Amino acid sequence: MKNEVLIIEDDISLQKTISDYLKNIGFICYEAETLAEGKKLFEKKFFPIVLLDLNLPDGVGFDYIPFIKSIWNKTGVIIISARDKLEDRVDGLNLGADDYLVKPFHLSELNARISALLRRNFQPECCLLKFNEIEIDTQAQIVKLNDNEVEFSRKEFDLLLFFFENQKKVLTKESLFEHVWGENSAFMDNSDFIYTHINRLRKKIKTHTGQNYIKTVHGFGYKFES
Amino acid sequence: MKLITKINRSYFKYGLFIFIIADIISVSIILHIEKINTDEDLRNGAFQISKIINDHGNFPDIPPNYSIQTLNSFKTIPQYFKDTVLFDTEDQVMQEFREFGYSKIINGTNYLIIHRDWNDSFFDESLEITPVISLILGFIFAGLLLYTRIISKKLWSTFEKNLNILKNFSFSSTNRLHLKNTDIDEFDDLNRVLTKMSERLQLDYQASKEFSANAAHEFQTPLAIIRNKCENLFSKSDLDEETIQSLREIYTSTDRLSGITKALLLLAKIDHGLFNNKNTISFNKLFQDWLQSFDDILQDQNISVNVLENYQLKAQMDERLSNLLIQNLLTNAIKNSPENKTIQIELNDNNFSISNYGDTKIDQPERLFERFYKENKLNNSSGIGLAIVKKIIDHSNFTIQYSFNNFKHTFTVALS
Repeated sequence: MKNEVLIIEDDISLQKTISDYLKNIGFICYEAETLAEGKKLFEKKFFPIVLLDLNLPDGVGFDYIPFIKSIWNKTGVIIISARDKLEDRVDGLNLGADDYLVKPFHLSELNARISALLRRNFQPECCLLKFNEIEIDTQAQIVKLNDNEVEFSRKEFDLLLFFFENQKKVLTKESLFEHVWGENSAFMDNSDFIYTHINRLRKKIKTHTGQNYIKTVHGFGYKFES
Repeated sequence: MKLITKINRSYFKYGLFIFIIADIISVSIILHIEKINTDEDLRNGAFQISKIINDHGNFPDIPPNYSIQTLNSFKTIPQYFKDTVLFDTEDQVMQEFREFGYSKIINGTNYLIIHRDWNDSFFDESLEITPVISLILGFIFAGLLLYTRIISKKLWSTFEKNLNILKNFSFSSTNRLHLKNTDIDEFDDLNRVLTKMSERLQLDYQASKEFSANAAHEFQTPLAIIRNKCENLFSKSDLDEETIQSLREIYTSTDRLSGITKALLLLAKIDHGLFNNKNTISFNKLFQDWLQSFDDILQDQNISVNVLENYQLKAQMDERLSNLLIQNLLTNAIKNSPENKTIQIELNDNNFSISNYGDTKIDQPERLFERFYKENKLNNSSGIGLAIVKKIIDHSNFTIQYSFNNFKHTFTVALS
């Protein structure tokens, strides 16, 4: 039951794209186009994650948040909206939303946010992630390679965690960049900086494990796999 | 130049011209009148002499004023006036004289009687007249100056008040423009035109702002779909090279478009006053934080950063804007700095500057802050980073200057 997601989004095409992607990586998705539909689904069933659009045909998504939280407080609500007015974001988070993604977002970013939310809400005591010789303590922000603690810069750590959460998925340079530098960096003209971060990360992992887990996918970007 | 100064200056030029003309004319007239008087006196004096000779038989020769000569012949010399120069034995210099002469036969002797008087030159005369004229004209001019000053102060006071209202008027606020009545038809006309124009501009301004914000906003969902569809396709393993290339181009174009709409939205939001929080920002701390963020990049490109903290530089501004400002300026410096070079940051009491090395100067520095302006077409920049910098600078009432000296590009931001 940890992998069920309710998507409330009135744009069918976007709704389908998101659900296809999430299904593909192992989630079970339920879709709703209106707040009423969403409520109906939620009453019948518990969802650990709800993706909520703000502009819906029968109301503003904000009104739905207290309803969800009153039924099941542990449900993680992620607002997905084109509305990036800062008050909206603050309002949403004040009303109990756990995260806020501004459209257009990268699906890998959505996945990372869902993973982080699930980790926070359902396994707060366990914050150790493992992949072969790599171990990440997400709370203490410590990385161990072959049981040796290795120093990672803030950006390298973020990048590694992002790769961890999107294992075996193709990640584009753009999505990696936006994850590491924030959404406002999209027009900052520093997207080339991501090569530096990737190269440094690769080098560190290679030095300590002898492996190159960050593979280049021709034409598209990178993939984290063994 | 102020209008009043301009008027006074032209008064002054005009006054000077009038003064010279008036001076020349006055001196000439006075000289002319004096000459007529002198001639009259000379003639009368000379006739007096002939009377005295007639009565007393002789008249003493008193050089240089009176010269009485007896002529050998009885030739008549008609009455004449002439200007002459004689040696003045008293003053030991050559002097100008006016003389009147004629011959007359008295008691059988033909006398040549000459009566002379010192002739005032134009120069001497004007030396006497000019100060008087200047004094009179000076009084008139000073009075005029004082008067126009008082009058124009009164007349322009409401105009200046209105000018201040106009200066402080901002289209981004919803307040309407209210100008004061001046009681002067021309100014009131101007006020009416300005008020009408400002209303029109305000409407247009709002409309254009809303348009760009709405358009950018409506782009987001379709962009999200294109981008996400592409991302779903990337994981497919059976794509041929051509498909990969096409997908890649669709994806990067979408990304660019998304970046542009985000930037336009950001600019619109700054205009809309969504970033109007006032926090005390320490630029020293801001640079420290951002330099830490850029640490990996700086290390990788072997760029060293030299921060000269002469002062603790603080300002009241929106925290998010301050972050955007420094991030953008640092990104620009790092991106354009050659490897193995130093970036110089200097914090002073009222400004800070960021310099990076570069081989060539910017072709069109005046266009540097324009939206979408790219100095180098090859370089994959959006050309909007510095436009955002400029917007933040203007919004915060700061000023920014760019210079290129000794192969160093420098941006200097002065706070208020």
